[in-house]
Amino acid sequence: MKSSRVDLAWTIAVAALLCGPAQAQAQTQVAVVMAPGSSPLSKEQVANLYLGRLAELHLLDLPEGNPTRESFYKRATARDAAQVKAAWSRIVFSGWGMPPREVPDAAAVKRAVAADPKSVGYIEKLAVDGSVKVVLLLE
Amino acid sequence: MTNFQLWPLVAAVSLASTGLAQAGVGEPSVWSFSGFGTLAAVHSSEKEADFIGSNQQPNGAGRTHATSLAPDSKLGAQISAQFTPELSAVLQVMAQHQYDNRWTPQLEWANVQYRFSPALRVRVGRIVMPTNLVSQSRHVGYANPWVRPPQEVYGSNSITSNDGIDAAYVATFGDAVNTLSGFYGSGTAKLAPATGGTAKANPSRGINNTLAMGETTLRIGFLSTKLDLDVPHLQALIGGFNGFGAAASAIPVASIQAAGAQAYALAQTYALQGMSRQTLSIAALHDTGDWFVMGEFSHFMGKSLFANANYGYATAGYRHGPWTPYATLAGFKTTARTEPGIATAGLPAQLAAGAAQLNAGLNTTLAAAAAASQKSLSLGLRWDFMKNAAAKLQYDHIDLGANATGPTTNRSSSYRPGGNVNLVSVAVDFVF
Repeated sequence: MKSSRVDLAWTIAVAALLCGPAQAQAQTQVAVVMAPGSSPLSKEQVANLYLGRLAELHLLDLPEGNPTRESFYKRATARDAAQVKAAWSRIVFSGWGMPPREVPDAAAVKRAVAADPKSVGYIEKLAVDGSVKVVLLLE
Repeated sequence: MTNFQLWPLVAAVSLASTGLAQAGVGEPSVWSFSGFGTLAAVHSSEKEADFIGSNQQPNGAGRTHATSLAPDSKLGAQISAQFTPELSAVLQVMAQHQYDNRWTPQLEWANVQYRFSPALRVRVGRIVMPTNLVSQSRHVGYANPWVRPPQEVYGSNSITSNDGIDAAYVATFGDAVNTLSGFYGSGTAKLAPATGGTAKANPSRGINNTLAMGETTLRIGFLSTKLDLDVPHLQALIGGFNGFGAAASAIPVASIQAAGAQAYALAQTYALQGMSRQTLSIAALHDTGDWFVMGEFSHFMGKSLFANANYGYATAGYRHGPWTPYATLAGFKTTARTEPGIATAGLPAQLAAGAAQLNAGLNTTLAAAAAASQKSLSLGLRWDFMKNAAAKLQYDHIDLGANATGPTTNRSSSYRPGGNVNLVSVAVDFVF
């Protein structure tokens, strides 16, 4: 009895380890936003910007660990947090650029993009209001 | 390269950990501090020689110690400054086990960048040469899948730094991003203790083009260098040919004078100044996020004392949650060349013996340069176990070609070249 419970505990632990972080995020839409009047962006353009291939806009990030941030990168670039960090590490340590600037929350993203027409950020679709324009919606 | 004492590196790391270098939220700061490192242990099956991570290390794993932290461990720290939207600067120092058996931090990057437009940027100062796809970030373990970049491709250059200018022009075609870049400058390196001396690349120049289209990246590059080698035993050899030329030219016998002229010509052909080196490289990478395949191939045009070489690798990996198993096949193949040298027929015995000795010395050097072929298979597993850190376990099986000694130094008298080397490496890579 005792050994099979231990076996079960081990199996669950190994399975949990192998499955990565829990996929408990709700399927909310992520909106990529810029100042009102901006042109739309394609998913590939957003991926190019947020993987550091293009340096045309000032990029904003929500804090690391924020579920919207993780959803954004997964949907726009098909990469998880570690892969994105690895991609930016290559760029930072080759002196080619700096990673996106971190701001604390959706309200801060909206203030920043409204103030700078060359800024881009992402927030939950539910947080979108008239102060920003949605340039791309990620399902 | 400038030598620093260890204290600036320690001071910089302390600064980061006290948060003094962190920006206030909501306002971009001019200064930012970051760094990377690897702590790695490698065990080598070769007991009569040391496996080394960089060809300038004086000892490593296998003979000196069966397992060693020295070949692959390193620590880098960087200060970046964004003075204006156009003007920025970077300073990066890195410490690794180096030619004098110390870990003195070296200056890897020290340059000022000006962005004329989103498409055009120019840098002046010290940059790392973009020889191959990940050359400029080959020390950043966290950015790469492997414990170390395939040495068949990334281990072949001693000079990795360039002091001069580089520029990049970025153009977009629909969703594809094309970056054309070039560099011009000079660089130096202290050679491995076994060879001794220094190498200087002057000028060192290259041009490369990278096309990123969604999941696929393609790159082509051309590197052209003029090398000056300050290596005592090679200088003695070339000096010998010049000496023979001088002695033979002074003797008024036609056949001896002809031999003298040959000797002078050989000293010119194999001169240690202005040696021309050219490399053509291509690379391809396809990364879906779930799996990736990447490969590179280079052709080095052998001239003078350098053997013609073709080298490359292919890596494939698959990502499942935080786990990325990967496998690499790599190869390095040289083409041997011989040099007939000074014609000894018709020369008096003493001169003929002298000429034969010089010819033998030259051909031994050519043969040594060509005895570098190897192939390898690597199997590894990367585990992104926490934020900003990854652990790796890698097994390498290196199959050395005839007379090849591979990435080893400190070889004992019982060492047999050729044969196999098996490595097991465990590494933790981190960024901060």
